Amino acid sequence: MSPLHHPSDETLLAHAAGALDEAFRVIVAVHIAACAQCRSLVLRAEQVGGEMLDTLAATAMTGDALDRTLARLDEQGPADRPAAPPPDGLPAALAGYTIGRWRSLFPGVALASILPPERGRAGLHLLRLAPGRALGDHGHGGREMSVVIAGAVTDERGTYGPGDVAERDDEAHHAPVVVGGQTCLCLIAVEGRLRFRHWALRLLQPLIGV
Amino acid sequence: MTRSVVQSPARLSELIVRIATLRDRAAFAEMFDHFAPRVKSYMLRLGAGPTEADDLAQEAMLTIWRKAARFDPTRAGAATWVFTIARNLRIDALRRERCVEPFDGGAVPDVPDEAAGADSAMAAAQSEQALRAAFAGLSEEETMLVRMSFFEDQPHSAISHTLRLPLGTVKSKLRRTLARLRAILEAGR
Repeated sequence: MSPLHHPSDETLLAHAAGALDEAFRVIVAVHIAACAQCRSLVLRAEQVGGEMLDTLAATAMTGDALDRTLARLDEQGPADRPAAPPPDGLPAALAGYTIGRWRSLFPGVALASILPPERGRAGLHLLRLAPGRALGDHGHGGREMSVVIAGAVTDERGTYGPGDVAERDDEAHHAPVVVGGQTCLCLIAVEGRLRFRHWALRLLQPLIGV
Repeated sequence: MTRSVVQSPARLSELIVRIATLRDRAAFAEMFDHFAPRVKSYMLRLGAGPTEADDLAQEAMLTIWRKAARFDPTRAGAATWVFTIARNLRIDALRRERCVEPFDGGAVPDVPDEAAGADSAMAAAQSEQALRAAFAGLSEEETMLVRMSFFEDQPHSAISHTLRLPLGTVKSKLRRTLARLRAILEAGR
């Protein structure tokens, strides 16, 4: 089934322009692998990029640039090997990434970091929620974007299944709950720290690095 | 000043196919004259220094030589393909700058897989033509918004600074512009 919840047009444009932070780029890549509609929009935006590139004023290359490049044509390029495939059940967009250790946040909810958040960089994490579980009510220091890999969650805006993307800005608090009998696996990119409402979760945060 | 060679889209596609099938160095030199100075401008616009921009443009040209066989003229034009190569090289360069540990692999795919597989060569050309036409229908400010989205390091704040608009206004203007562009394109189908 194709996804029902899509990234915004600006996000798709930023993806095509190469302007998304890595964590968000991976989320969009997971979505567009499953969504023909957004794939074709990204292609459109890339055509805009091509068009823009073609109309940019030329900047002179250094005098011997062409000769130097010609001399390198027969060089062996970087090995064109595919990246290590991601572990079973994870999307191809995660090829080459190291998945961190699973850590329990609280019963029924576990998290594995892929890109730890750093100053100026969004974090990327896998979240695993058992049936019936909720990720505690939380807000964000910045943008949050997530994509469901397996299972489904619901919040006040609707139900999200595989490939569905939820995009949130800064202050919005929400508390997604797993629906159905299947464990929900999702990928979440967060700018700034998650802000849990519950004091115990806030206490835990430094220990789990989210 | 530079030799600013302008080639037709059809000629550029043909050059890439010649590189792929005949390993034609003359075709490569022609591609270089057209694209290297533009890719260099692109890298400069995105904040690379002059030496780095020159190196990245050469790197983009080498990538064109190595990956020419993957170019699919039925999917997109030459400029679109070169744009994705330049964009991915810049993303990799940024990643190298910030990553200490080596990254194993290509999370930046060359081409977003099998997209628009049904398009014929003519459809690809038509859709790029439609795009040019759609741009002609945008106001100067709208064109600038889209342009800056591609060519600024921090697009939203750069637009906000240049047009002296609050960040929120920039976002809603950009959203409206994209909706308009989408509507023009969809009406043209």
